[in-house]
Amino acid sequence: MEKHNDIKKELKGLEHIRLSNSEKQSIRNTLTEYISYKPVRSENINVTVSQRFWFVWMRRPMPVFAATLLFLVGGTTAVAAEGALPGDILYPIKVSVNEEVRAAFALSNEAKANWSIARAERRLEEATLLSADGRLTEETKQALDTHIEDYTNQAELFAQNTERTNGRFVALATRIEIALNARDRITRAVSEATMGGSGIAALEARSARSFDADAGVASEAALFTEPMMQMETASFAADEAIQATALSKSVPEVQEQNDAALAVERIRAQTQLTTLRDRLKSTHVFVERAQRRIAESSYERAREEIARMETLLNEGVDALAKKEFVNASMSFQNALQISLDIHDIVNSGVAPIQPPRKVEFETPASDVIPAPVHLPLEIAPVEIPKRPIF
Amino acid sequence: MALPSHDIERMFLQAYDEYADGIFRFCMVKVSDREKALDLMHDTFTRVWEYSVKGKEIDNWKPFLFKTAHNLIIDYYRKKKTVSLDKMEEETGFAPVDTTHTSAEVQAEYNIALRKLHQLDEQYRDPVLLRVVEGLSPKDIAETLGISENVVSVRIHRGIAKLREIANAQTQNKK
Repeated sequence: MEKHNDIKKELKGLEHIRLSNSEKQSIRNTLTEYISYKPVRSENINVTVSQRFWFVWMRRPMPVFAATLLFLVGGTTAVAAEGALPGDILYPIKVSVNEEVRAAFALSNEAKANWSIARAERRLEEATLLSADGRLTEETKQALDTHIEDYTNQAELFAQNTERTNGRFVALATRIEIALNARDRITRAVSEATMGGSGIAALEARSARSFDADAGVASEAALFTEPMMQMETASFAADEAIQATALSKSVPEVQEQNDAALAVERIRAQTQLTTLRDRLKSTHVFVERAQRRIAESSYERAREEIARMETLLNEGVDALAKKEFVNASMSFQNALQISLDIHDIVNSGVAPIQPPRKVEFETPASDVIPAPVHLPLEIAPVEIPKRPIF
Repeated sequence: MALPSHDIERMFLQAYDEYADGIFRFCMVKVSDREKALDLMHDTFTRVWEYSVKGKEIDNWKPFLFKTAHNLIIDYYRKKKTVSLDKMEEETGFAPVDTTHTSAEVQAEYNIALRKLHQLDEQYRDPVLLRVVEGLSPKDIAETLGISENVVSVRIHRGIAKLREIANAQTQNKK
């Protein structure tokens, strides 16, 4: 490079072309943000087998081959078992191996509660798929129902030991509430299908049981949903409470309560949205699988109801974007309710007599945001009921 | 085994800190428009990051960045016809140096250097700039410009000879 020193001197002026400090920092910040939006994904990183592996392979081929085969077969079986349904050969592996391993990795009460409710949701999905195929026997139905009950009970017990004042408690409570509601409706729909009840008799039976259903959900959920109901009651009664306390409390205190109540409503709506998206997918699958064994009119009706679910989901998402959390929650809850009505439509083979139930809330005034209820934290020893898995 | 993602991020930002000015200067000399050069420099780094995201390794960041910038500049000129330096100066009062932070003396020095460089044919300009100002090796320049190392060496040699001629002619004129 020294030999070009004279030329370098001639072109020295070009070195003045540079970014200003502010430009350089500004672009750096933009790039840092860009990186965070587009991170290097681990699956994209090339993984090559190390030389050490080949060395061991060459020295001791058979043990390495056996270990590799065991790993591949075991892993493949575990993955394949995830799609198994009751009655399939791999189903015991799904329930007794895969799920138990995942349960062992759930260490905190919150993680345990989440996994328990997820297991209940998986059993519900299995009941739905078997029902769609017309493979749900009375025995399997009862076994699934028992397990759903166990897992929701477990989830409630674990959830009781989590911190109730944080948002995750609200999310858990919402998931349990949705699962219990679905369990009741799906079980009823399944009963009609398995008992051969269709047409007018089945519909009458369903109408008659609608009251029992509400009572049943209330009693089963009483242990855990009572605090949620208290929370809701408090939410809507907070109108008066805030008005009453507004005089004695300072503005920041009221504001703080309003913010906390808004946060509760937001988490509730977001949890419902997540569950609704999953439910929408599984309902699509349910209707398509059931198509060949139901009347054309029922299939068309079920498709229309799915379209209504999608509309309500979009409305709810719009409301969420506008921070109208109560309205969003109502839309999501109505859509979830419709998904259960679709089960009735498919399993009875005829359209329901009544239009889908709409959950009506008494919406609080927009300028008054309800206060959250801080529930007492009682640590109770958790005893998990043992039941044989099929 | 490829590098962990946080190492790739660190290397990328380090490359930005070290070579951002050089890439900007390269773009600036090629497009003679400060705003466009900033855009091209920014696009260069985002393109390189997108390449990294796909899990592809970059052994030598400097030539890779210059090569990406060079390709983006080619794309830019395919979309837009060339504008001469004089025309830019006349029409838009174009000021490639950050005029808010530099003296008139520095700007004058820069303009003289840029004029000398623009007297070279384009085929000599890039190799000379990359070799003399940015300090890339002939091998890296060859990779950047997509030509052979021998051709790069020849062009650098001829370009520098031409610049010396220009400098000598100017000195004799002054006398």
